[in-house]
Amino acid sequence: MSVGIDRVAPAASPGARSVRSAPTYVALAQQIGITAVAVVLFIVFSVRAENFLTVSNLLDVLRLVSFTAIVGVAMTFLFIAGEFDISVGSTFGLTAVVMAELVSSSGVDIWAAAFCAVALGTCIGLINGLVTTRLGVPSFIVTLGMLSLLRGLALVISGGFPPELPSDAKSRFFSVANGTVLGIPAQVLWMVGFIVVGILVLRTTTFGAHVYATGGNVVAARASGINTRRIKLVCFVLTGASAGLIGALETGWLKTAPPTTGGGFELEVIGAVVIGGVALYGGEGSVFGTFIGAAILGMLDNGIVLLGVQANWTQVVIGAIIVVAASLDVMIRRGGKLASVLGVGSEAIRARRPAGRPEPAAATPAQAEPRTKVGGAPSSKEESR
Amino acid sequence: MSDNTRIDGKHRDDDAAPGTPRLDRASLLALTGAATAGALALPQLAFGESTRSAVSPSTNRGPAKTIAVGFIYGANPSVTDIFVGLRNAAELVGWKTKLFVSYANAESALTLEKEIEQAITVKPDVLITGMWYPNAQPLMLKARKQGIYVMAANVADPATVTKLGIPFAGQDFVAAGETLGQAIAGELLKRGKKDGVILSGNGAPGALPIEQRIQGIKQGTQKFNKANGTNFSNDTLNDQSPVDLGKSVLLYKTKLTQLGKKFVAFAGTGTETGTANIKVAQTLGWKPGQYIIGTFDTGPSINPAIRSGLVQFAMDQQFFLSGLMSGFHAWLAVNRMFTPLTVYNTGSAYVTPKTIGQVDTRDAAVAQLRKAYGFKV
Repeated sequence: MSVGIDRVAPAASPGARSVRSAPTYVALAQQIGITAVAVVLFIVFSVRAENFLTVSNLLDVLRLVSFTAIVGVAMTFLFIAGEFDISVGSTFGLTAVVMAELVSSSGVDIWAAAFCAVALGTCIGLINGLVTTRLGVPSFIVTLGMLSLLRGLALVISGGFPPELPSDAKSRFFSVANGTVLGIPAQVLWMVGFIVVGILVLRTTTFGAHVYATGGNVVAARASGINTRRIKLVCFVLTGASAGLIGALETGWLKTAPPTTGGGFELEVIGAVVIGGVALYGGEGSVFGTFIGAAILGMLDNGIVLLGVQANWTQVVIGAIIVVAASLDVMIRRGGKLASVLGVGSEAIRARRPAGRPEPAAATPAQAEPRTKVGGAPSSKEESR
Repeated sequence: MSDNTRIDGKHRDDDAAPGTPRLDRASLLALTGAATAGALALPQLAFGESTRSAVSPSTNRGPAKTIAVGFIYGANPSVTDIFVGLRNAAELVGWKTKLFVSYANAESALTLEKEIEQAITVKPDVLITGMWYPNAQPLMLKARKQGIYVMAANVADPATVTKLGIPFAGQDFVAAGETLGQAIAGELLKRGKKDGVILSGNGAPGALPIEQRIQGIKQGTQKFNKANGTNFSNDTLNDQSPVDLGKSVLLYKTKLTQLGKKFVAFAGTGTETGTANIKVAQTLGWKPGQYIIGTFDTGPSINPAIRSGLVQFAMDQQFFLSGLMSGFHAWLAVNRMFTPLTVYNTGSAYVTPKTIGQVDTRDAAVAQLRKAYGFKV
């Protein structure tokens, strides 16, 4: 799967193979579709927007999407596992403020402060995960509460004032956060590292398979002996830690941390993940897709400015393109002409299915149930365990 | 340009009527600084009490009243100074203040409505709020119908409040924008530039202060062009500076790439866009004076850049003064039946590297009060 289709939910029932085949094609088509959208945008901006196709600008685009993609990788795991976290923007802001305050007010070493920021993000992820998986509170509610709580804490700690790192502060951490290697900005290297590791973990490890299994069919996954709660907990922790990391990187880069940092960032990350084809109901998606989703958002942010579009039109254009991209996704999933052209319509899938195999829709009710529960409380069966 | 020469190149005396007192910018700032210091010292003179002491109501100040403050943008540190000024005034006259403040990131008309409604619910004697969104107006009129004395602070359209008879202490954003636009164009002309793009960031599209400042900057630029035969133009960027400074810096970089050599100056529209402009300049390694940067507001993130010369001028809203004047105005109107001014424009202080020291002196005094009231210094 050249475009990074990592995997789809492993099946646990006799009809498993046929259930797997349909979404595999659909997911592949979706990846092709969204990659095609990205390529078209790239070509349009390259042709129409002066200076878009320059190394310096393309590196700026990558920098623009780097933080979204870093958290997006972890969020992809979480989405595939069937949960989500809307507190990442606030975690980003709080960890940035805490790091800056530790350095500016308490004189803590910058490396130690950065470590604290990541540790704090990890703890926040752990809390989100524990409340969701142990208490059974829907992750949407938990992280909605945390979104407000963490933002409030950032304001309380900073008193509303952006803490500033001493202007004469010297540390190698600044190079780690904002240096370059062979002309490539550090943030881009961090992003590449996260994407590579994310793809490898999701595609080649048992943990990755368990993440898909948990989100695809939590009951079947449990029946297979997978500790789905732990899987989800780890995904929450990874998400929190990644938000903490970008908090530290941003503070190291700008040497200040406004307490409003990261406002609306959660929507950007979720946007990238969803545009990238990760299923809202869990069980499907890929890290590569999330990167493409982030890249689309970044190209739009950058390309529209380069085209000189009047400022207030920017949001309109970005919103319209997101709707078009999402509509393409639905059209591909439903079948029809577009799917037929791509060879992934329902007819094409049926044609590939060996005779006698049942329709994917014939999956058991138990398989269908968890898909209505994503981001919500675990099913009663899961609770009882 | 001499101190007595206007930014449009004309001499200050040109339009002045004989006998009209004349002030240069430094004098004006010194005067406003002195006014603030005087206001801080007022209680000492009037009541012989410390500004920090909790003053009990006394008969010569009239009965004690309550001021409810319905505000958004609580996350903006500058807004804190309005509260400090207001509380200081209230304390001096033996009144109490109740804050209903939103610290949310995504401030909206809905949030403002909630804050004002909550403030009205406690049945205060005075309601002070800002008119960031149009829905503030009917709510203020509703409060007035209930017998509450209503005032605007920080944000309002002077024409609207004058028409409604609602007192206002704060900056006239359009006028201040005009001054900034003319100042930037004047500085560019002084350096031999006659055309180019003046870029303004908009971190909160739809918010009255930012939109009116942008409008003022455009008007100021056009007026300057007309008067001096220059051809400067304006452009705006939705810079997202209030929510992500890092992303904002990259968006500015992209915009600068698009504008290329046409770019000549930044005209910041608030603390956040000003901060983003400074970070862009630092990221790109600009030297002080390499490009003109003018902005609104002074504060911890702006002042060092003014001091270093990276920012050439800033229009100071004098937040403390707008809070203080609001408080005193309410006291005069409610307890003394005297209305001094409907619109008190606190936003004409024009701060340069030469005058930033006076701002520092004022800020040090305000910081002491901020600390005393439990706000972060």
